[in-house]
Amino acid sequence: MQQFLESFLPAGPLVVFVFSIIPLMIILVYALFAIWLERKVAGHIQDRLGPMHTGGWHGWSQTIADLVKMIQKEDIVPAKADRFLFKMAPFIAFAASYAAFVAIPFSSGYIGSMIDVGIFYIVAITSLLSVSIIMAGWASNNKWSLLGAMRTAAQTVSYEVPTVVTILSVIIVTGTLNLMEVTEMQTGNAFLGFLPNWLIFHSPFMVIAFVLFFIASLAEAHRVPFDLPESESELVGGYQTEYSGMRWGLFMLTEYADMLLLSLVGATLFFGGWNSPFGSFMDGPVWGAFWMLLKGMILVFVMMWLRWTLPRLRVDQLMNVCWKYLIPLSFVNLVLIALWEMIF
Amino acid sequence: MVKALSDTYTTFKTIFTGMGITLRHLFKKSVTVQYPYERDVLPERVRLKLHVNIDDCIGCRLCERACPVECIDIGTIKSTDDDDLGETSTGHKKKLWVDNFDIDMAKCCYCELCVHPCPTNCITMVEEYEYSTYNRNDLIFSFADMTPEQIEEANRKLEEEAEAKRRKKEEAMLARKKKEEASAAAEGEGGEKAPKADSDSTPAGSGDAAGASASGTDASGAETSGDADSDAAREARRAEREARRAARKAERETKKNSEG
Repeated sequence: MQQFLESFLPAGPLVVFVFSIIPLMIILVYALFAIWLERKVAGHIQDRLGPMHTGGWHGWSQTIADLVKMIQKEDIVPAKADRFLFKMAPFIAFAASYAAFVAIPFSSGYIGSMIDVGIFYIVAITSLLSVSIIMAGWASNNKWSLLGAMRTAAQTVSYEVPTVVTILSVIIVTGTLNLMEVTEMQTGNAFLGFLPNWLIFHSPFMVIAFVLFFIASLAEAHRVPFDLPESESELVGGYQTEYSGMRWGLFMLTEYADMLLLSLVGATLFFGGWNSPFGSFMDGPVWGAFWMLLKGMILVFVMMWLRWTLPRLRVDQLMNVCWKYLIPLSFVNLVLIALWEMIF
Repeated sequence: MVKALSDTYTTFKTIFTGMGITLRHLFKKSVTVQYPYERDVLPERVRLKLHVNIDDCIGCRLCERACPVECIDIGTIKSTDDDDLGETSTGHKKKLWVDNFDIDMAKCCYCELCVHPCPTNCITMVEEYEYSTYNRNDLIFSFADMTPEQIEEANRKLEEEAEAKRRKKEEAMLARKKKEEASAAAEGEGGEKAPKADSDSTPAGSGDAAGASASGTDASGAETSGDADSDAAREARRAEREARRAARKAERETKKNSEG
């Protein structure tokens, strides 16, 4: 990819710049599409239509119109807020979420950085997100914001444990933290003769691992049924209450970027990343990006689908689910996967 | 441990049931009506807005009287004899100019009581419901189609006619008085009956009597003697009608009294 860019772009820094903003372009376009999709999914699940007017075909440009509106909004900072922290928080949130994309292999030809600690780096950098949320909640000087931020802190710290343990159980199988190598391991269609070599088919415990990972990632991305940080119906808007205009938009973008990030990590760890499900058919760098994003979008769609199916948990239920079910299950699963690896 | 496992099972079972339901709804036809582009089919007898076909209105004010909230305001001008207002589509003869027909839809309670009394079916409820405005006064709908000039003209004509009638009435009374005097004189002269009848039956004969009658009308002034005569006849008919009406009224009154 870098060589390809160097072939028609002159200077070195420009190549690096273009190279590094590719995920940003993907995120921005994806966010516009995903917000529209979310509204469509919500609408159709409730037997409505969702946006239909803007842009002609099924309101496809509704999000663009919303974005234009949001940019025009006044930038309000509460009088008694901590101005510096208040203004910084959305940028740190988005930076944390964007920085994680560097270790995601979008296709066989594109990965931001071939670091060996890939998945570990992603887990570490996304923790910054909860810091930024606490920053936003504290700086707003508003009890609803602070309550939302506190909930987020508790939630993120709790759910990082099952996430990391399930990721660890995958790492036991792969033996590497580099996501590009993890994906390359899953190339081919030899499993049971026709199934792709994806890790989800590796053993029955991998299915359990995926389910645990998916539940934990819902909580990490603050999606329903774990959307307590934002819980509109209880906390006004959680940590976002005092934010307006483009700063609020950045939090929104972060939320959707986080969804995509966790879906892409899930797709890489369990569903073969950029590998085609049909072996060498429709394979290659460009098709790889297509498959990767398609798998990610399917998981994002499942997240949306769940959002309009399940009610929100209470705080105590949230902690129960994490500490009494997810963590014990993920540990047992870790041991079982390790045994499976030892035996076969 | 067992409880935890069974709870886990229940959780997943219920989640998948719920997801099944939402998935089914995801592909179900939505119930939305894209309002400005498409509309709901309205029930047959919706009551949304009053409309008046002013060409059919005979100005009878039955609707105005039926209205419980007095949202209909009708003004009429009597037409003169030389004006022919034509007939309504239901065959009623129009006798009144309708110079004012205002319906205040802000007051209207959509009871449809005004629609049924109308003898010509000119006031109806129509399927129009997008008439909200920023100003309450814009909800007063005027259906009268007369221009101010026409109204002035109708009023002027009515006044002129009334004036003419009054004059004619006076003239007729004068004429009658004269005639009576003349007939009394004729009786005294020839002992004949009404001179006019004579002149009709035998135009050539009894010249002096005819001459006497002619001189009588001439003396009364106007050259339109025949008109004055028919006018007098009409006056007589009206008096007769009024007498009859009074009699009926008296009759009703007595009946009411007896019932009471």
